[in-house]
Amino acid sequence: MRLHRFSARSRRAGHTLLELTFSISIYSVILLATLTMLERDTHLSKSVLSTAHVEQMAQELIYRLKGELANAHGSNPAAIVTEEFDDNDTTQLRVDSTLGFPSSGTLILARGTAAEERLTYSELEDTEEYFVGLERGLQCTTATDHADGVDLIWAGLAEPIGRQDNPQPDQYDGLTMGVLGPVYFRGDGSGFAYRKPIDPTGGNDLLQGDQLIWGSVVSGTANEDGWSCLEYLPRYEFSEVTSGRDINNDGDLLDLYDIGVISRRRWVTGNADWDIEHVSMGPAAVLQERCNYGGDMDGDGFDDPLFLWDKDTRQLQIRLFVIGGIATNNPIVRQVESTIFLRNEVEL
Amino acid sequence: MKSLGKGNSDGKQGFTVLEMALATVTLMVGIMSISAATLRMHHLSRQNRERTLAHNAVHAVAERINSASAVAALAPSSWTTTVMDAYGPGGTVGNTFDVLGLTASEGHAQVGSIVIITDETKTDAELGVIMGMPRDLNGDGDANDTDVTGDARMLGVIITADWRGEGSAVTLNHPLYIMGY
Repeated sequence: MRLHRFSARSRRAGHTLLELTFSISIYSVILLATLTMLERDTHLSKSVLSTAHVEQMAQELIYRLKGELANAHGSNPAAIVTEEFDDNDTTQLRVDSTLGFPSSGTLILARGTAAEERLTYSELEDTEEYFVGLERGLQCTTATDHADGVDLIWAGLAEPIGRQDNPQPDQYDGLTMGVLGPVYFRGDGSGFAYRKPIDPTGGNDLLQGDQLIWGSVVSGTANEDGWSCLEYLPRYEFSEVTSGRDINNDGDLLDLYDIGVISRRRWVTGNADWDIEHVSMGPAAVLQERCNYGGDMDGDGFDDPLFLWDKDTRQLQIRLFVIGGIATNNPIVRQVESTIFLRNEVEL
Repeated sequence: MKSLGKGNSDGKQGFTVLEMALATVTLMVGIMSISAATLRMHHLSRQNRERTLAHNAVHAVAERINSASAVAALAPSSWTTTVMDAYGPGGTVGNTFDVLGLTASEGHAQVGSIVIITDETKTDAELGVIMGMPRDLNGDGDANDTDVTGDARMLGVIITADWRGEGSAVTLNHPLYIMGY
């Protein structure tokens, strides 16, 4: 900028120092305001795009789940221990039946008692009586001795308990908000097992007489012993401390989360040699609190299982908390929920 | 201060205050346009979010009504009564519902409402939806009955969400039929 000086050599009047200072001050203010506005715009744009992306992801996931489960019928994998089970036994666990349990997964033994234990199994034995390849005392529990007759469930299953009127603490695992009020349920609600109508010959005839043929298409082959499940698989860790955000609105920044994916697994029961099929149903953006799957995610005082299956009404409630904007250090969580009525009768 | 360019007719270099002011105004107009576009994008995003919430809620209610209908159909003679007792006015579930994240529009206590159609003679125009009414709902071969509560074989249901959206009231209708057999 050219500065003019008032001079006797020139008849032209320039700017005084005061005028110049005044002008610079005004321009500085305008410049700073402009930069602030630009920065705010950039932040808002990122936030809007991240939010839109997260919502789109969540909605697509819901649509895919609805499509997958439209003609399915649900099952309730539960069993009873039929042989004493020592705390150091990692070989096998004998039960009355493993039918309906995923080919590998997490079990909850002695649910709701001081001896509650979570363990994983890597395989189902072909006789449908044994879980094998065990890893004991997981997800904040301890390996314990369990007597013959103890019940166990697949950890993924969450279902309302029979007695909803002031149940004892050992009779339920969580309390969620339903349509008519609070609902006590058992399990952590991280999965759902089901079967679908199939034609074992690979055609389109799903009926045998007037009955549907149930099973699953595993690795491209329709199989009457085939089963399917949706399950939550953790992929990444997310910390409130690192992000500086109170994700579940509980007033602290101490919680640790898993960010994972809803995956569809298909397997053939009673035949461990059959290939197991895994298909991701959506992006790795589903949030669950570590060591507390199905716990309260929005600070409303009620638990939030991903899947809550009521076999009496055949309603599957799906509640997803999807996170986005992590890459831009602007994490946004969106809750998407829906209910699916499974038109066909329950299997187990 | 270093000269920034040519501007004066007398050959001296530099920008006049007027030129700087014009440039600043142009810059501000540009930035404000970008801000307006961003705000508009935010506005559209919120509208989309609201519609998604309403759609999911209405669909979930439809699924629950289908579920209640299927359970009630185990006793076909009392099917209509059972469904009405649950989702009719004053029913155990009721004929209104809230949607988390949406505010009911003016004149509505809650965002969602459920209307169960028991009058065969109602037309689509009267109902405000396209669902093929009037229609025979009790299987007697005509569509003249004004109350089929006692012997309906199927019922029309209209689920509506009315909410105060970004700037205006928005309505979403979802008509469906439930079967009593």
